[in-house]
Amino acid sequence: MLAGLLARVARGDREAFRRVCGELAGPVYGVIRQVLRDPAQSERVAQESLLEVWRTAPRFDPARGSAAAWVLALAHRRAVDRVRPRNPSSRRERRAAPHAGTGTGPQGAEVVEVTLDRVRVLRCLDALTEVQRESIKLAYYRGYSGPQVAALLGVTPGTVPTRIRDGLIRMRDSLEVTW
Amino acid sequence: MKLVRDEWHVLTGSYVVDALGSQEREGFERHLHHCVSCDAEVRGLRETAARLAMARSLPPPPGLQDRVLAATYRTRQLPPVVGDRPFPSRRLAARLAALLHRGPGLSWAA
Repeated sequence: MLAGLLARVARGDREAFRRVCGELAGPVYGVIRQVLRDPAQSERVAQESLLEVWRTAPRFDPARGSAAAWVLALAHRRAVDRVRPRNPSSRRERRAAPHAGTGTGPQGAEVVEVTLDRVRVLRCLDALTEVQRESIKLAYYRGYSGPQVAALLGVTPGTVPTRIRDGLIRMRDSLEVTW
Repeated sequence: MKLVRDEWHVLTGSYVVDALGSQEREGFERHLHHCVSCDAEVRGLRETAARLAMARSLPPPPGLQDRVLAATYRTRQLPPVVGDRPFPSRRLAARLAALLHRGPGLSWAA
């Protein structure tokens, strides 16, 4: 359904874009907030990310993955580029931000939507080994690089990619994620 | 970066959680273009990472979506990627242009 909406967005359909935003603004803002913490900065980056979805929708290829995964990967990378600004892509891809609001933060933002799926995902995360779980959380939710994760966990840097990969594969299999 | 196939393969997870440094990331993306198995694994792990994001969904700040929608009116969208063969082909286009400019060498009239 989202993929069909994105195809319409690619043709400049603003109603379809409004619906895509309705579906994904929450996860986009949530994951950016996980990485950046600062509500005002998170709001700006969320706005930029959603506008980037509008701008690059014609490049979305539904054969290569779900629309949600494409949008969330884009948003996550933008957030990480803010905390690790030496990545050249952040300089190359940075665009003028749309006007941000006063940015005092959302009301009730701390009230996390509790859904069955959320519980399931977090349970899967808990079921991993400690190093797998912490590596994934530090990298994905905190925006740390592999070597930074290794330093925080006191493990050799070479082992972190394997931990992240093994952990994600276990999650993929137990959540029965297909693509 | 020069890595052998197995060394790239172990980076699929780090790539989808954006844990690679910029050089590694660029090298890995080049590798993805010609490694079917890494590409397939990245797709599945990217969907999995998306579930991690969904699990952290928060109500967006009020007005966020309206501001984004307003910004679409001043933001041009990228063109879609199409094959590098122009359509109609360059040669055909040149012939048509020549015909239109000079007129046909032979009369088409019956």
